[in-house]
Amino acid sequence: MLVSDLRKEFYDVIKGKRILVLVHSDIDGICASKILQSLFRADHILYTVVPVKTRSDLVSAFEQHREQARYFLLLNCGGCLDLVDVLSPPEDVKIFVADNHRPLDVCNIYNGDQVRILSQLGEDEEVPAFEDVFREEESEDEDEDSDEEDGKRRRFDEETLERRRARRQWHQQRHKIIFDYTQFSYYGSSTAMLMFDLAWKLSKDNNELLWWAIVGVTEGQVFERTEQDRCVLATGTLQGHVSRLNHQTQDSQPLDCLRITFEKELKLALYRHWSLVESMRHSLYASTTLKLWTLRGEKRLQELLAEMGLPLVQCRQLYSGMDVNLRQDLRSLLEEKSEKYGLPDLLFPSFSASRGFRIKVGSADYVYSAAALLEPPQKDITPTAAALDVADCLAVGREEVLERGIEGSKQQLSAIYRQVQTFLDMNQVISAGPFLYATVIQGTPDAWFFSAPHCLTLLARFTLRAHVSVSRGRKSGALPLVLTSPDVRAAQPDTCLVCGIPPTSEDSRRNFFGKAFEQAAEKTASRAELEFFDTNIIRLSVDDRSKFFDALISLLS
Amino acid sequence: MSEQPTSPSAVMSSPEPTTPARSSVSGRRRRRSSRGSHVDPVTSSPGRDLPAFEDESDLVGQDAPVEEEEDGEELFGDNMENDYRHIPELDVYDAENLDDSEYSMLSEGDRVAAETSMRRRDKEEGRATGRMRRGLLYDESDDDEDRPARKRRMAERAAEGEAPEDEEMIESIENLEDMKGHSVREWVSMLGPRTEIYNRFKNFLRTYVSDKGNNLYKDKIRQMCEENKSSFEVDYNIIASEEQVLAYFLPEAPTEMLEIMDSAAKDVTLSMFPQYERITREIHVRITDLPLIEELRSLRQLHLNQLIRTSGVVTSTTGILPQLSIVKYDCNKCSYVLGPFVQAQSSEVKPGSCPECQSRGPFSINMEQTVYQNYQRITLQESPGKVAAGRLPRSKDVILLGDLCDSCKPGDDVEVTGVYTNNYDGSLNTNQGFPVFATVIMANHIARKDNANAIKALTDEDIKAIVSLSKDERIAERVVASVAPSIYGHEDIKRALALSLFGGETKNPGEKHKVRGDINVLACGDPGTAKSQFLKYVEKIAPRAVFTTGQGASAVGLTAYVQRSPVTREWTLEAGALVLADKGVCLIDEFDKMNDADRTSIHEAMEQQSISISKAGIVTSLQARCAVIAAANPIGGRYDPSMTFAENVDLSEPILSRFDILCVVRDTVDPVQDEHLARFVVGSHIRHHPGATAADVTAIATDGVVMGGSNLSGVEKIPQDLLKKYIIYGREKVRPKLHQMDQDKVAKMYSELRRESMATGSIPITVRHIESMIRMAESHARMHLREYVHEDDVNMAIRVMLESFIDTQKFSVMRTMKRNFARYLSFKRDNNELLFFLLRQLVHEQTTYLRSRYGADHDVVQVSEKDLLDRARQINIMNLQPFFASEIFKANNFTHDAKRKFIVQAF
Repeated sequence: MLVSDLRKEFYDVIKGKRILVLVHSDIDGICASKILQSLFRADHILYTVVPVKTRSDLVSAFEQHREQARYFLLLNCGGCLDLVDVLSPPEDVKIFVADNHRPLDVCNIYNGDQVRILSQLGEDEEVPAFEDVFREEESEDEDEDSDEEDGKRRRFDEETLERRRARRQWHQQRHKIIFDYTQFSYYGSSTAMLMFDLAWKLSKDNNELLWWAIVGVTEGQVFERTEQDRCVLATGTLQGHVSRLNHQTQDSQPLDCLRITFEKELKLALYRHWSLVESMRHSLYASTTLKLWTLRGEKRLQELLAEMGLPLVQCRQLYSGMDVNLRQDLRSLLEEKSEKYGLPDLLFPSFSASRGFRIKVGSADYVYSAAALLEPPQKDITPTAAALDVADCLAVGREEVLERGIEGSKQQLSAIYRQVQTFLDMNQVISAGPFLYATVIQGTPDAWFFSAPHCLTLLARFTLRAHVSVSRGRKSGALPLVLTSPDVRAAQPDTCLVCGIPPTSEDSRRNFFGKAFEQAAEKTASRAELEFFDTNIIRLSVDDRSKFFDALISLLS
Repeated sequence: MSEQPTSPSAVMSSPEPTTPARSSVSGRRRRRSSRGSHVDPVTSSPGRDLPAFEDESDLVGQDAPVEEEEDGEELFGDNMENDYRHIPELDVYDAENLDDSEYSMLSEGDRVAAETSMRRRDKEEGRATGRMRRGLLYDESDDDEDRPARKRRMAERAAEGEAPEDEEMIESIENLEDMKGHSVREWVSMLGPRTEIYNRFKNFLRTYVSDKGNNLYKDKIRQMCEENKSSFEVDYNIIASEEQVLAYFLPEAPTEMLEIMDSAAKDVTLSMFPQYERITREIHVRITDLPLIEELRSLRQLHLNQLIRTSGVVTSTTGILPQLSIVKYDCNKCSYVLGPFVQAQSSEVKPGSCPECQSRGPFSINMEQTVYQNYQRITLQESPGKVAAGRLPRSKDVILLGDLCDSCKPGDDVEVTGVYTNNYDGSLNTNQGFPVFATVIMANHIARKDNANAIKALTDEDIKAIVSLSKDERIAERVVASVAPSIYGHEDIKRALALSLFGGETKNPGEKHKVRGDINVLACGDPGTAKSQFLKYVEKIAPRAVFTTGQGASAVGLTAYVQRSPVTREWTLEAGALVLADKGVCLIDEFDKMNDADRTSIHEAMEQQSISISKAGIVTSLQARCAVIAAANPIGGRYDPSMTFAENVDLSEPILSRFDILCVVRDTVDPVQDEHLARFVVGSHIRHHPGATAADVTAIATDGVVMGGSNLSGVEKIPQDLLKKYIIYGREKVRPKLHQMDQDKVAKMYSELRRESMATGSIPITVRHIESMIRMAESHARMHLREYVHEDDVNMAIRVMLESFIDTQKFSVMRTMKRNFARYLSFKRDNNELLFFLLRQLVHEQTTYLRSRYGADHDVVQVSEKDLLDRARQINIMNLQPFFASEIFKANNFTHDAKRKFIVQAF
């Protein structure tokens, strides 16, 4: 059931009761959970937060806690699963779902009682009508029973034949509708934004909650999950909030508090915490446009820097060590030269936070840092601990966690860059008919980084864009990419993660790989675990890889 | 024709009078020569023998009236306006004479169009149409739409040799060469010529297009800006071909010209990169390829204040000191900042009086606001090879300013282009008793002559060539074959040298201690086996190499020594051979002739890769990460196989174990090999004679192919400079890692070897051998430019190590070991090569037997096929047929007699 008024139907319902929050380990979910936590604390609502990573985690967590609470809240997980089926909750349990994965499962939408969906559906998300998908169950059972009882005599009765044909047609229709509906998987608006709306309606919003909402929305932008226009709308709304909460001048507020500003940001990853040249090399956009892995690209970069008048020595050192005037002029200089070098989208509107006299941190930096903390390079941190780390880094006053995340993110980005360079140098991105295919070789030392969903998706996007920028035909722009990497973090040996991303020429971010993987796995009966909530990533056993890919090729061509 | 002869030209315009005059002139000539007057028209003046003045009245005509003198035509009379009256009949073109058969009347529109186009053309070319030119009022703007027209115009004018118009209102000097009696220096310092030179040079930089069609100096400036440098090179010959005047002035008044050229270059750079000011403040122009190279000895007074070019070896350098360039002084009395004064090179500038308080009081230098520049003084000494026989080399001081500092280090062979100036040194007066000046060269450009220059730029094409080379499967074979191509055979030494040049990977476990990555090679053997030639070859091809001999080096000279520096007069540390070869190769010849005391100093460098000094108050440790390649001779001249290696060479075990590969070179008597060797040597001498013609080279080349002795016969060699670049690229870019080394194989082999070595009482295998094997495997992977170490590499490394190890044993031990480790030793060897090796052994045995039995040498040797088959079976080779059909079989004069099952070798 879709919930329209969050306050009445959700918040007032759970006031005074115990609630269990199951959060998916992604940044948006964790931000939303933090917003909710602060609300719960203010209203003295008992809550428990459990981070989950995969479907089996969800089920086991549910099993563990089913006795304790009557109300469950699923953040960014479970929207696409038939919850009543999967979790089999007892009768009095109510499950609230706030998920930004689409398409939401029809059973969840049309469930009258137990499942309440808090996410808002956008205009372009068409849910099939109730009649098309569901039908009176009783008549079917009656028919079945009566048919079996009466035996052959009844079978050739015209009426029943008519009904059976109609039923079969309806079933086919239903199958087609459901297939169309679930074919593409994509993302809706951010859950953190939703929670901030709720807080605002309760008049309990403040700058910190706003910042978490901003980070949640920025995640969608950085990982290219939400559509462009939706991003712009969200940014507009957020800007309204920012100006509302931050319009007081500096003198009236103590210096130590959080201050959010809205400005145009450079699309360079972590450039404030790294050197300018390094961050250009490791960001997706700048690197693939300038082709910085070739010598000619390096020369172009040097030419650009010389034209802007930035000495190379300073650009190679930490950004915070550059001359103050150069730093101030950097944005305007880059904007002037961006047209000439083919980087028109280098600036995009974004938010940045500063506290006291510390360095300004952008929301994209938070996103990268959190992504690195979620998938730490050390082997001994459990996923739960990692998620709690992310929650920590978002909190006020825990700068050292943020620093740690930024360092980890730098390592991740360097590993991605090295891998892309290897791919391109050795021509390992091969065209397998309807899609491009690349695989990370077993035994690469960087494989540890790539066994995690966020990093793998980032690597896939970087590879695809880099390949499109160097290859000469028009075709590669229209082909999607499937990337596999050995999964060294998994418990079982010899598994690999497979990730698929849509082609670069398409604007819409809809991804059909979820369904495609599922069907290919069914067809070849491979040992695949479609565990992740981001359906474009699955875990596959290495032996089944070749037949899985053959099936995929035949499916997609 | 009009009846009034108002224009005098009407008379002259009629064409008739000329033709009779022409004929009369030729008639005159004919008449003159017919007189036979022996006057040579070339040497004497033409007018000497003209005939008498003829009466030309019949030519001119009778109708010209003879005028009296008194009444000339009055031009400024009363009615002079009459001359300017309007005569409409004369203002028309004569219809008869006007030839407009080809042209039609212009329509009005056409005419207007033609006029506009002409007006536009005039405007573009800046012809004075009676109005001011566009550029005179407004500033010059370097818009792109202006530039093509102006560039074209200027280029045209420059090509014609005219002077382009000045941007400012100074009259353009058409003829710069004409110095109007001034000396060159004065002429150049005057304002007019100075601006002219400035403009011409700027134009030259902007518009010079080289043969390849690109704007050469723009590209150079772009490259300079990309690397944030502050100087670029200009070839003197190009200036000489384009702007001769500048090229003439430059060597005569270099300081002034260079100043002007620097400012012009700075303007051009700023026009291309407007923000470059932030990066560096000044741009320098470096002149290369001055045509005349002087010797240091021959600099005389006529070279003073001229631009010269010499070459020499740098013996000492001072540190880099800051020199005042723009000075600001503080007045002590009123603390007013005086300045800025530009400091000249020759004398110190001192302010006279303070403008504020008019005191002539003491002024102190304001340290913050003064601008300094870098200053370094080096001594240049004549190259020892160029000194005249029997003389000692002389030296000169050279001053480096700005970004030239630290461009060379002591020991480099350089070419210096600079201004030869003098400076007054008061102390010399008292020494000599009369004013004598000390001379110094202010450097403008320094070019290093050694092959360090080649390292700098590996262009994209080079890298492509290198990467495509590395895709070849047999690249390792090719590299080994290309090492020392002029030396025949010795494949194992060549392989060892190749592995050492590429080197393994240094590791630093836990930042605590270092494990070296260099491979050390020792070649020991009989005299006359080209060991020193190998060392000389490596010196040429390695990126950084230092060559020493055993006797000529002392311990101190090898490591580091303390010296009193002449400038600061303190004890400073100077680097020895091993430290100079850091990250390179140190070549030591006659290793066994070194003193033991000296040799121990090498111990530390080889294993620990550092040299610790504690003397003269300096306690420090220097890096010496070099690979050592050494050559030694055995005791008693010839290598004795019945003794172990350590007994043969006078080296103790500690130092022997530090060498990874020990190569033993034996001079064995083998008729076929000797024949090939002789042929090769003769061919090489013919081919490489300085006076060899192309015909000789091709004649020999066909023979040289047949080097059937080694298995490197069919392998194509890599050209030497590409090999050098390949080595540099491999060392820099590739870092091979060991992931899945077959640990079992290595472990098993190690324990077997140790057991064997203990059992037979030879040199024991130590852990060092495993490390050296890993290093060799990495080096082999690096040869293929591969990032990870493969099975192949490990096998090859095992083989090399085992070979070197087994060769150093006693003969008896060697045979057993060879048998035991046959499967390791036979890796990567062609079956054919192995079979050939076995066959040669059989033939050798047979010959020895025949010689001892029958006494004389036999020309024909027969070996039964069955023997060969037995031996081959031991190493798992079953089929001999492909061997009999192979090249190597035939090339060595073997024939297979299938009927009698014999293999026959004929000499």
